[in-house]
Amino acid sequence: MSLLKINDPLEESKHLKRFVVGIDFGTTNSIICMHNDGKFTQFRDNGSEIIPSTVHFLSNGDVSIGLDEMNSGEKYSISSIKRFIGLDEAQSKELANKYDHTISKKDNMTSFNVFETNHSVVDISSYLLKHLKTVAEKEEGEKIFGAVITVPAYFNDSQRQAIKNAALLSEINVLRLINEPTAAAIAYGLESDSQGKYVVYDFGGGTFDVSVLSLEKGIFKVLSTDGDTMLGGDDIDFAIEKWIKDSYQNITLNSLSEFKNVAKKIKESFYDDTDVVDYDFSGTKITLSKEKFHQIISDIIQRTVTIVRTALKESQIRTDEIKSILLVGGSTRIKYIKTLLSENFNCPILDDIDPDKVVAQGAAIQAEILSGNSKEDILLLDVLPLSLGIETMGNLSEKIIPRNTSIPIKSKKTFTTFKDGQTKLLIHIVQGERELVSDCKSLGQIILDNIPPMVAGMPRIEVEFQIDADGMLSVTATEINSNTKATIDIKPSYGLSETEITKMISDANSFAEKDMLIRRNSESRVEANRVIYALSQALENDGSELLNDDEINIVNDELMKLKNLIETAESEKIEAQIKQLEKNTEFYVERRMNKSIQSLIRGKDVDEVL
Amino acid sequence: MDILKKNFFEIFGLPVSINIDLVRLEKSYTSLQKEFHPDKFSNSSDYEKRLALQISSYLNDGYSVLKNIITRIEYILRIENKEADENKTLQDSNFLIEQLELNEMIESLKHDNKNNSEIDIIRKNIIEKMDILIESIEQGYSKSNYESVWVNLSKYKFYNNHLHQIEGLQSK
Repeated sequence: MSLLKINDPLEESKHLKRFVVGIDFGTTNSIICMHNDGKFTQFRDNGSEIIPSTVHFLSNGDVSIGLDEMNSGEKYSISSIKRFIGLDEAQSKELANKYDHTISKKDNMTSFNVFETNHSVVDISSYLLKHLKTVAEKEEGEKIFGAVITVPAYFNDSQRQAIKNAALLSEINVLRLINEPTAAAIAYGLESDSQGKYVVYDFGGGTFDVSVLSLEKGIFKVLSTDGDTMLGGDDIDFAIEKWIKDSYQNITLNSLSEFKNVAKKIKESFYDDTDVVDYDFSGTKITLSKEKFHQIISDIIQRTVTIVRTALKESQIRTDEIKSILLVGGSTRIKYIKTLLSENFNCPILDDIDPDKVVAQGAAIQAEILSGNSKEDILLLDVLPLSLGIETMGNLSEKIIPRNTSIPIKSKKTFTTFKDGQTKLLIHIVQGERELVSDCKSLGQIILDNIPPMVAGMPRIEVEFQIDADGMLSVTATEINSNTKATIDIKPSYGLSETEITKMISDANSFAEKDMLIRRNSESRVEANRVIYALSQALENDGSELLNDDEINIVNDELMKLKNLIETAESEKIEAQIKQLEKNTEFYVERRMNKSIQSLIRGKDVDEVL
Repeated sequence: MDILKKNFFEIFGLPVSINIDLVRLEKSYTSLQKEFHPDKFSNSSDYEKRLALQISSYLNDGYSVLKNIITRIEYILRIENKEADENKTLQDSNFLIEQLELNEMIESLKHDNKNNSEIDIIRKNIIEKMDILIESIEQGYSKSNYESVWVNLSKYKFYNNHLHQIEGLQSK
């Protein structure tokens, strides 16, 4: 509990510093990074900071992650799992064909059948996240307190939920999901103290994102975002692969993945402005000129340029207002992309931070800020990437929150029944820009039950959407006349409920219970000390101003109880007392918030407050 | 919570007015978000987190409503309990005919390849008319003639839609 505007004195905060990380969970590669005392640490796996997002299943049931080291035994490898997140069945099948995987369904999710066992998309993502966590904890010698995980800005609610579920399964405490381009902007912004309007061009392995941001005085405000979650460097590989197959029909390869590797190597050879790439490949020489290469990938790059234009239009920024374009994602190493961007937008291109690491670094900075480790005064204001709405008569989507609205946000709309005596209403929540519900992503349904029978059109059903700072949605529907209520957090058609996840974790983890207990005890003490410190400071500052004697006694009483417990009691009791204290001092918190906002509004001049 | 009972003008320290100081709005908005955004409460109690989420959401809502002139005027009418009757339709037949013509013109622009300077003339023409409407709305409002505010506002929205379509053509 950090009551407003309380800064820990230095020794206190040093003592309470938490181990927090930023995780860039990428299509091709992942990075786990820490920012501490102004320095970044990327944790290494097998000596490499860049960890391939590949899961290898061995026939004996073992799973290994990252670099493929084992040559012995039968194995099955799955890469680019991120591309499968949030896809419907048909889309998954199409994509699985490209990667030569067989898929089915498990828990209503796409899953891969490997050596007779089904692994869902969320399962496989969690293996990767868990591995990253282990790598970092081993090197740091400490348990991770929490992580900021990045997601493509254009991810919809169910894709975000899938990542959150995977993190839960890997027992990672998610401090915040942030958008990849925004994370990159933080890394750049912090480095150069930049001000102005920027475009982040994030071309990763599997997704393309663009965000337009304004940076000033520590405020990173996203003006608009756009993208394509099905467009990435992998598509360039596919295009080259297709070209090889078409042009060298006599080549026979053992497996599809061999083709992919060759295509990838050829692509990488064009990172520097090479004129011709020759590739010798079991006797056949493949020759690809720069011109031909540009021709092969031109469609893909043009699509990204069009998306940048749309994002600019949405943000109401003119091309000449852009200060520069920040490049993110391994694919932006292709020289041709830089050339096309500067031709189209006529502004400087910034690529001085490693495009593979910049997202993880931004996430690490944000983790440091959210954990309270850093006193850096930075604020991220992000937007909703895709409109949210509900289905109305005629299979139409009625938008409740339009895309590019700043989050968090709460919005409501009133609807009614269309049949006399109707007592139930099904509310179908969808996300996307298209008019027809069938063209949007279905996020879930809630049923408002027990509406008192009324004439059609009489009930007033208020549907309220709340989006939090992670961009996650919860929906409440209320019939106003009778105050009938229904609420859900959108745990999409895709994915697992929190209880299911908790069960899965405890099943997996009956061991190490003792360790956990010790850890929990020390954590709750630390937390209790924080609470006591914050509340005492608050009392000293404005207790006598905001509270009467009785109220001060209540607060002191709660403080006393907690202080008495700290040394002796076990964690459950301490935690219960923290909860009780927080509950019983809510009135004080509310008064402090009100006071703080009043003083900001009244502030003789707003400029002084800034 | 008291804060959430304040209207958007009060919360950003602005006078209730059709024309507002947008720079000041931006500054108040950012200084308030710096204080109340949920990120500033990640180590706080659940109750504080909930309050911060509510306040921050309210600030975002208020900022977007006040930033846009149409929603700003509608908001003023709402807080003064002078909302237009939704069932009332615009009766001005000359105006409606003009809108139909504009519709047709935009449709034909979509198909013919008119050059940008021609489109730009139409665009400027519409903007001029919108500016005049805003002046009329302000006059109507200052004389508490809400009937005229409603009529001119719905005309303004018509032009605004057309303007969007035209700008869509230009960016292509």
